[in-house]
Amino acid sequence: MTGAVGGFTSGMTGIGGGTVMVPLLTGYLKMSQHRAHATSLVIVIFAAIAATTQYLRRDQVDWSLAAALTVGAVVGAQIGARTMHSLPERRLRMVFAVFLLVVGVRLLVFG
Amino acid sequence: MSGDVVVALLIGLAGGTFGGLLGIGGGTLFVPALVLILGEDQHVAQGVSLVVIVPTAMSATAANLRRGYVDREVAAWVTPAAVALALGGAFLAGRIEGETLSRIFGVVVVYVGSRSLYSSWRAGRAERASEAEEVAG
Repeated sequence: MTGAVGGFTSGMTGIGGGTVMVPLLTGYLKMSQHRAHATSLVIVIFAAIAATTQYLRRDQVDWSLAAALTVGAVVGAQIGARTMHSLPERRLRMVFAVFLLVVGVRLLVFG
Repeated sequence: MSGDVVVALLIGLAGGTFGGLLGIGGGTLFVPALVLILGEDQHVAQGVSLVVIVPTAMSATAANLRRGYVDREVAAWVTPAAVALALGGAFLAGRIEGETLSRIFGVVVVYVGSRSLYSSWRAGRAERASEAEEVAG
């Protein structure tokens, strides 16, 4: 269930699927917030590879843009992961909840 | 063009940071940023976002593995389902208008977000109450 819902959303909307994966891991599987974030990212790697194949087939990838983004994103991911490690459980949970609200409102308003 | 490269680097940095922190890869930020700031087509933005998510999530995972936060067992059995449905979702995204689906997804996300904000607020209040009790006792 968890993987199915997360994976579908991922491919459908071009996001990694973690937005739904993390709450499913903490809620449904009672995982700690830190473990859920880390485990979600592993699943996201494979879900994103799978979804990418479909966009490649339709030639909907701009490689030079992807390369420039990747350079920034790989560095950013290290900063993000280290920040996550330093945050206490409850604070991290709150940060994620605020993020969900922002994303949800954006989806509702802009579609 | 060179200005766009700098903007792309910054979008990458911001998306990667949020992706690594929140366990999501960063697509939630990449897609709207590519469409709204760089004026990319929605489908191309989604394709680029997915390509970038792979190294981003790998980078964060390397740091998380060192700290022992990854639950390998759960990852191993959730991944196949996620991969299958990601393929299905990406296939469908090429065929249908996703706006209605996005709004439905929005309702679900707002609900889950409010619920977890409320539960973490309640947990914090309980924690402070028990600390106060200890001090008093």
